[in-house]
Amino acid sequence: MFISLILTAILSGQEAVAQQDGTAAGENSSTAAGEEREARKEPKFVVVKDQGLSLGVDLSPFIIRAVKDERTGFCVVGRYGVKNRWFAAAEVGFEHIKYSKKNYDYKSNGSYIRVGMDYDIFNSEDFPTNDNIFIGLRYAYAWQQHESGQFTIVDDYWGDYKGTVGKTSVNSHSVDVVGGIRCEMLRNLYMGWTFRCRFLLASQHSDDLKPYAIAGYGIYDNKVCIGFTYTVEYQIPFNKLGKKK
Amino acid sequence: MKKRSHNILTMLSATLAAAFALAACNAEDDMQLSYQHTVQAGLYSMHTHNDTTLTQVQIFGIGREDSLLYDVETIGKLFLNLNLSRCTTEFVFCTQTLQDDIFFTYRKQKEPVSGSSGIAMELTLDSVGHTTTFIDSIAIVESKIRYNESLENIQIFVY
Repeated sequence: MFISLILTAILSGQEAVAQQDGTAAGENSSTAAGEEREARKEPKFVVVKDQGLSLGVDLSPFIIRAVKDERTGFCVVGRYGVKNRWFAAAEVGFEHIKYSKKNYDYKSNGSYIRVGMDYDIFNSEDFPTNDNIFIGLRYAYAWQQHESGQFTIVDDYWGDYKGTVGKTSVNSHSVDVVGGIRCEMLRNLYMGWTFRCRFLLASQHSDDLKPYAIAGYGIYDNKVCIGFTYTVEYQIPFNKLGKKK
Repeated sequence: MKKRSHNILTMLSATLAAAFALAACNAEDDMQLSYQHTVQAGLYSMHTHNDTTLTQVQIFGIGREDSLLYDVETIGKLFLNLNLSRCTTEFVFCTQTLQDDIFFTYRKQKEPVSGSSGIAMELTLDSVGHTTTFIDSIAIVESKIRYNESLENIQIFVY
């Protein structure tokens, strides 16, 4: 899938290069011929896709939950077509983590918001659809509270260390580099996925307890996390252009 | 209609790939937490600055009933367990007829290591003090003592 995405992007790029080459050749010809060519010049092909406000759900927290039942989350997504190929995107969600083992308990409740932009690199004459191939960026802010009801650190020499940690707050900032696709499955109903490379910029937490995972980001100790979203969206086509130049 | 069914197949295959990727990314170790609060020390000659050994060594932790930690013929590297209940730990080094004390002061921070392993204690050495019978000086080369890291924390230079 990822390879097909890259190939499509390259093909789109080659079309653009071919168009640019054609323009350059026109400049080098004689003036009269240039004017004639100018007169005959076809308009640059741009697929104008349906625009509007999309609202949906990210299903990846449910997939994660199926793999790891300690993690529960929910995320809603929104997208607005600012221009034909530019989209403003926002995601809001929460994540609950609960581990209960023999030697420790750990609980974290957190929420997060991500805002950013996507650029649609998929604009092909051969496939004039509403589908998108995105690259984009997100800024993410997460806030959470975590605690440990009880824990034991085994120490054969000094004796086992037992303790508790009360609720403390964690605030984190991160950036997502996004790449993915979105397909119109039914009229105005879209499904899509994105791969994300997440970079943790900063995290403020108490000196007593480090966070295990950051809501909407991943494992705290990983300064770079790979993420995935799988969204189902409905697009309200109030800004429908629906014509092709 | 053909295009739509093609899209559905594409999205389903992507979902499966994602599920496998997520499963792989979230794989966690299941290691037992041990020696995660141990200072690693190396013995060095103060004259040559090369690593060296001490013979007939006994090491005791102060404040513990059965406090013998080491009783060995020859030793070049030491692993000293810090007391997690306190912010200072003191050890007595005995070599034949000579004796020295080493005391550590440190800070503690709890750190969930993984879902299966539990909480570890990350320690930061603030200072190391000592008496000077056969120990010339002690250098802190790595102040952080972290779970799953095997680094020499201090260098003990002996006469």
